Amino acid sequence: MASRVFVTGRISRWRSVFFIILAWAFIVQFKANLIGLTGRAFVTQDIQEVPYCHIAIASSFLNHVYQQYLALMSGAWQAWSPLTWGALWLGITLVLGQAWCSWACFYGGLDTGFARLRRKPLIKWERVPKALRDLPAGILVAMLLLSLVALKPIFCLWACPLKLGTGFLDPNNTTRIIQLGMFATVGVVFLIVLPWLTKKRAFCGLICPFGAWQAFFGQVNPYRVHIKPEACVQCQLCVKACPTFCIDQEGLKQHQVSPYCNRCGECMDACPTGAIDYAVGWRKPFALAPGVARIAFLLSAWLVAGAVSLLFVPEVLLKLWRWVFSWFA
Amino acid sequence: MVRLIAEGWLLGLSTGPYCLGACMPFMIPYLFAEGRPTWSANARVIGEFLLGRFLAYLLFGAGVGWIGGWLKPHLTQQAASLALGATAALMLLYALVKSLPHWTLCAWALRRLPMVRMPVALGFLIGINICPPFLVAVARLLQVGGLTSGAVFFLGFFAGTSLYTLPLLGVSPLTRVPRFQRIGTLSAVLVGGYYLAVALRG
Repeated sequence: MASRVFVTGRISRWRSVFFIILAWAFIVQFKANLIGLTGRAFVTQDIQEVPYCHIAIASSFLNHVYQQYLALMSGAWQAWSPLTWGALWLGITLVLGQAWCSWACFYGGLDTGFARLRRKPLIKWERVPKALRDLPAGILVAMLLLSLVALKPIFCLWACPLKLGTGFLDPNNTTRIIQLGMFATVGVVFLIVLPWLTKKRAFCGLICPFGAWQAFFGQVNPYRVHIKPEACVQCQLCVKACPTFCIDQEGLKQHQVSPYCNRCGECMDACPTGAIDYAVGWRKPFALAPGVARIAFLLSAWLVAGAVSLLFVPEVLLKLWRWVFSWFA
Repeated sequence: MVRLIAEGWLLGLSTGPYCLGACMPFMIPYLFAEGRPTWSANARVIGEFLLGRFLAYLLFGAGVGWIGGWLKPHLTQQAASLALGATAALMLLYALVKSLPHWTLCAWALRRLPMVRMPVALGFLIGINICPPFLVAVARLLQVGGLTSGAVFFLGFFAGTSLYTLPLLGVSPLTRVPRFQRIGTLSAVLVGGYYLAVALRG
């Protein structure tokens, strides 16, 4: 798939195929066996208290800082594992920045999958009201504060669709039913229905707190999406193509891309004049030529995304192969 | 009297981080949403907020000292939900009015809201939120008894806990940025909605 990107020059088509496989492999490997236990399974205390996914960690980051402080004060060095995650995240952010959200995140793969089901959108949706453009950042700030005060990961407990495949210790009370209802609603609306109707990645573009987190910290990453003013004919095809509302009409007039852009490449594939490409946001002596920047970014993205996929995709494909083979044997 | 003030002050110092936890989800989004451009303007907001808290503590301290043993535990539970609900509703109203000023209802509220000193109102409502440190202080007050003693004890308690709200001033350099103001308003809606739901659950 990586070679197809280089050969055809079309980034998003082959990235999407890889990305969707990655997301569904994640579901098969980590969630499918839990779905039958929804609302009933017992979860370990570790999973309840230490969120293991990047969205949960970002939205309850202050809790981790607090835990590290306690670990430092009590000399409990074995409780420093979140620091390992921190180092890993820092590495990925330096290499990929916001591109994580379009190359290696399993949530992104899910709504990309549903957004790709239709050739054309049933409902056209090209801009988000100004007041709601920073909703992911608003959710992030609220989640950071509420999680710290409650000493619990609030996003996981109330809004994460993938928690549908997880149980709670006391499944039958009203709170649990409301929580499961919230998970299902967020999942159905933002991961399935809106992407399918509009071809926009509604979860990533509107509510994901990790998207906002990466938009902020991803500024340290050198790669950017750049619109060349001399080549842009203002045809608006990139506005229609952008699945996360990162290019709008006002921004396009000034050839600007939103900081939430996660480098998916849809706009580059849609642009008829090749005005949009990856660039390196370094100053002159260190700036790379556009073609070199594109190759450097794509190599970085495939390396990181490939490394993430190696953790579970080959195993899942092998399992599926054996399962299919068992039908014929 | 000095002993009583010192006791309240030390209790405030030891339980203050909890108070910061109670104030922070309301105050940080509020400071961003308000978008005052200077340190002194933000310090004024925090000052007004502390004034509201001070009034609440003084009133509650005196009241509890006066009522003494009449205060029943189930009343504190109901009062806690009520105060939290009122704080959250006020926050939600403020954020909605701020983000949708052209809506008829919001425009109507906007014409009246400036008359209310929002930080003072928030501080007052958070001040009468019955949190664990507050309950510890109340428990001690029930032993002390007396209107003046109650007010003096809560004065010390207020001074001790207020120290922890000063770091909130640190957000000042960011509050003038329009994008952060929008983010603050959105998070104020979410925080207000969350706590309103918590209060309704009781």
